[in-house]
Amino acid sequence: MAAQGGFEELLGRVTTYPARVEALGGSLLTNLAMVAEIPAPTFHESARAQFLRDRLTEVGYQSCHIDAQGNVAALLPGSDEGTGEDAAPTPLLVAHLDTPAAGDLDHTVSLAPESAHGVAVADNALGVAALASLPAVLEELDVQPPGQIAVLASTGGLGDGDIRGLRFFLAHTDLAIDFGICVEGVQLGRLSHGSVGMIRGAITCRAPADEQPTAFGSAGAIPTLNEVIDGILALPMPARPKTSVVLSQVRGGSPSIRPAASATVHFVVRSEAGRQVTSLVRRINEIVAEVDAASAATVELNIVGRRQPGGLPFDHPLVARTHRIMRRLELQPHLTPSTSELAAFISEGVPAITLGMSFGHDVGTDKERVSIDAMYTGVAQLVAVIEAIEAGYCR
Amino acid sequence: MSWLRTNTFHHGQFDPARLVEAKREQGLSVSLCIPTLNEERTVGKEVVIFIDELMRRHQLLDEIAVIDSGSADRTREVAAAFGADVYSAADILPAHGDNPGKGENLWKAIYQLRGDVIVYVDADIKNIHPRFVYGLLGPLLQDPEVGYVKAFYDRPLAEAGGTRPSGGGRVTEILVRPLFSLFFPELTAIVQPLSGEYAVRRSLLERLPFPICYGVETSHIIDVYHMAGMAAFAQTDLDRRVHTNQPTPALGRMAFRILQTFLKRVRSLGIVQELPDLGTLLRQFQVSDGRYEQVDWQITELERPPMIEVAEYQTLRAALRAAAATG
Repeated sequence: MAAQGGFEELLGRVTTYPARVEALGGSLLTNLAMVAEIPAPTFHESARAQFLRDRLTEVGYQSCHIDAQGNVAALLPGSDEGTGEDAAPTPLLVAHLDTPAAGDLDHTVSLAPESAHGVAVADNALGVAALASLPAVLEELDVQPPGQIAVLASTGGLGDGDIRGLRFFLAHTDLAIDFGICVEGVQLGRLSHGSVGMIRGAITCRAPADEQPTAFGSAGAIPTLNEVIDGILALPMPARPKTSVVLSQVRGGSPSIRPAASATVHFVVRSEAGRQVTSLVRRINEIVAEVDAASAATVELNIVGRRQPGGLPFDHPLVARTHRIMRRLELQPHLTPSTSELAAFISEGVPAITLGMSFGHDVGTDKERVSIDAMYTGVAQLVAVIEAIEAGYCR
Repeated sequence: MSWLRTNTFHHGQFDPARLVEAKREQGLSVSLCIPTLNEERTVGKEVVIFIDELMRRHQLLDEIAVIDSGSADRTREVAAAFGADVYSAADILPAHGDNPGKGENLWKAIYQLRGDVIVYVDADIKNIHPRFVYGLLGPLLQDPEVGYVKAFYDRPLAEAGGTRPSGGGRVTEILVRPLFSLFFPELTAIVQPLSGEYAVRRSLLERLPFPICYGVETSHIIDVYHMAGMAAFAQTDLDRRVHTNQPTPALGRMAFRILQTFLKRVRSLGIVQELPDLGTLLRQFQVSDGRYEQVDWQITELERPPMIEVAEYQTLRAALRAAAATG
């Protein structure tokens, strides 16, 4: 176990990091702009992956490759890795490569002195850019971690991707991963150390095949779907444990005189308790079966993603040390649960946290932007957490 | 056809680290000029990427300057904030006046910048990448005979709702290529003579007259061809260049200026013996309240003389040579 004094020394110098990271801020902005301008909607990340693999090679990573799941993986060798019990811990830094934005949008990035604008710059081009900038940042800060650092830009990190990239990597890698850090573009101050239980699904209604679509009185799939939605919204939600159902997307029909032949609603059930998630999805399934039986339409439920709740307690050294680092950087840590990559680490029993790199604004819109000054603090905190892990302060 | 084979490159053939070595061996300095007019949306990214990649990581550029034509937006503030040297074209050689136009900025850059080679890159590129500079420097740094390197692209045009995967270069294909085919067939080997990105040796650049606006690229091609022949040219494929499409009437006005420049040269070179005095009025039409309206444009493509003929430039260069000689 490393000495407490060493960690205090780290806290002492971390306050100098943001200004020193700013001195090479161009590296971070360069990577952000070049990554963000390559569209990468979930399941279509290959162009961004190829660029990133080449970029990681250029900036000093080793063993850069694209794996069978389309992930970009690379290693930064340590200065004194050691062996056996003396081996320095290996952290895996993960940023999801995919974005929620459609590939045909204008992905031009615009830089102003105070912020970077562009489609999905926050989610998650900035997280990926932080990985690509890490070697230059470590050099600028004269930080030489003893152990190797593994990085992964993972595919399928969003929505129906169901964090398949990271799951695949953790299931197949030969590396012994000791800690995980999920690197998200936003929000700075986020410290997620637990994952809520989650089930993501889609309910699809299809009008009867023999319905005459242009006949008066023909209703189509949308009214039936509406019955399902009404049923879901009427479900009682417990205040404790915190539980919610979010209807995230409705699609169906077309702007014509024809009733919709099919319609789909996507939903996410989340709860701090796994049994609540299971119970609610069972109730949704009953609603689906009831409406299916009572209408001429066909109604089907399809589950596309699951997360088990879990995570680290607040007093776990990784969480506690990170909390202190953030406070030293004058950040107010927000202890928010996560449904993203963290869940894959939790499933594998790897201690992990999620950090944000900057403040985002209008995220998910065509005005999405991230604050430039805040990025330097975000990257500084990341480096300090890596140092704390590598020095053994988080075991 | 042999020029096309020997002097056409792809940016992937050049490694910035090796180009830095070649530049040092030849004792050359390189300046980048970004001419701007209301480019706040894209100029910051260009400056950041070029400084970080081509000054910090690879010491390929010695100077990055924005020459601005009087932007009304935050172009100058943004460019300066990210580390570019920013100049107002009106403040350079003030005794010679100030004309609106990109060519004016490029001409004044010869006076203001210090490099033995000047790379010009437009500020409106949406997918900017270091290749836009090192791809153009590559042929110059590996062949002393090459003095003028043009870019060419597959240029998708950004449009509402997405990008179009082909197109661009409409004025080239409709106007310039047919004219070159008729009068300068060898020049048709240059894929995109109007591309806004090129790298030029100062020794060549300072001897070229400069139309102040859209005629500048056409005049350069003809004048360099006349002075030094095809061997002075090279061209580099820079892959995709995404930029904002210009409306057809604007292209019409651009074509008018190019045609003025072209006809002036075929006359001065004695290729066409008799031409009437050329008019300066371009008439276009627009529809307003359901009625056609004629819009008149007075367009004259003024030209700046070769910089080497400008007294202030001669004085400056002499002073720089003297300073270099004394160490």
